[in-house]
Amino acid sequence: MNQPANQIIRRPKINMTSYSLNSFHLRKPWVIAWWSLTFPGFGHMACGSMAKGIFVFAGEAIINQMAHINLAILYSFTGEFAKAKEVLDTQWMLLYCGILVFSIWDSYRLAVEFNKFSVLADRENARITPVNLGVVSMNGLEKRNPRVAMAWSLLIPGIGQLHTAETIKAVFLMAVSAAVIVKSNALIAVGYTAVGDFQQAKTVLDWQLFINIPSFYGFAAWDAYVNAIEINKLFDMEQAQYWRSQFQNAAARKPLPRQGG
Amino acid sequence: MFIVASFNYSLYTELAVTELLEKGLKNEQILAFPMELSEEPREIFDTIHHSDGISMTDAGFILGTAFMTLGVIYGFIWEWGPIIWGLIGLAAGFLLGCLLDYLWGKMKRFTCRSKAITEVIIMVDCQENQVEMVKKTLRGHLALGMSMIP
Repeated sequence: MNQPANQIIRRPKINMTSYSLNSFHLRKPWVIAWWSLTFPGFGHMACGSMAKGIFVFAGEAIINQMAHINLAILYSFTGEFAKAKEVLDTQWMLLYCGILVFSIWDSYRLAVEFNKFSVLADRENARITPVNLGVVSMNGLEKRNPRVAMAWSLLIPGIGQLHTAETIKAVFLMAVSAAVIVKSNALIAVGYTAVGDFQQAKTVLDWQLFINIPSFYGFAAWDAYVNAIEINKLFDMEQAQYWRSQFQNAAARKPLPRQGG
Repeated sequence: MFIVASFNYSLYTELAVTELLEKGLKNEQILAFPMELSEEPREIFDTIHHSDGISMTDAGFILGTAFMTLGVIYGFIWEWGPIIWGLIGLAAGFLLGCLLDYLWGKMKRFTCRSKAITEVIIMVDCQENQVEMVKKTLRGHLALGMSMIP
């Protein structure tokens, strides 16, 4: 802390642009691995590696769709094993194993590495700039209620990330989940369910797509909750730096002066 | 005359102090002490520091997602269909996960901190005739508590 202006920050804690924010903070590696299991790519996104996450996500989405993995899961869990075998495309299915295992392993490893980065950044304690004023956008460290961020993402996956100013993640999650919700006829099924026509709700759904939806809601809500908390902590960290550097003047009069100085 | 006030980390705290400077107090009349909240020792490999002190939601979200997926799948064959069973699964999984986390935390390290934690102490050294102004400014910016040392 209090570094000279020309000294580089070797272990930064945070990078904030006018529309987004990324930071190193401690994460449980097995929780990250779990999100990769629910949908490959989510674990990387939870680590702040959006680019890698989107690529892995797209790979999984294509392979799952071609191999009918979700349908096979559905049939296997409901005991119709013959149907599960019949519906699977073996060639695409073998590709799926690779991408699933890779995403779990790599995101776990990233979480472990980024935790070390986070501890080192805390020790370096480089000064944080609390606002970023761009020409078409502006962003700053703010205090948010994590439960509110979570609630927004439970309404539409990704909208809580818009609240926590992680625009790229928000746009990606909102676009993808909107597409899946509409293409799987989920909202039509909601309508049938609401009027009690459960049989019709079952027939109208595209099950291969629909099974993706729980992971979207779960991940988006968890991620928004955690990030709201982490941004709150960055706010505290930055303000503590400010207090220490500006308002701890050695010349200030103290209520109990030291005796015999 | 010293006035000591406790605050949370908040933009109001910054507004209070800068307002005092604007009203003519000097920088060396104000001392700020950001409190280091006692944290459990850092274990790099298996921890996340939640600002509320305990991790109450990880298991909730994990079980919520898992049970919701199961609810959707078995909604395929069960009477009420996937939407209702999915929502039931989400709620049941989330509650179960939070309960497990709560019990686990209670077992392990649920040393309950009271809700009101002082995060910053601001100490202002001012003249007798400034006391009311300083107190009013601090109180108007969400000071948690205040005390005076004559």
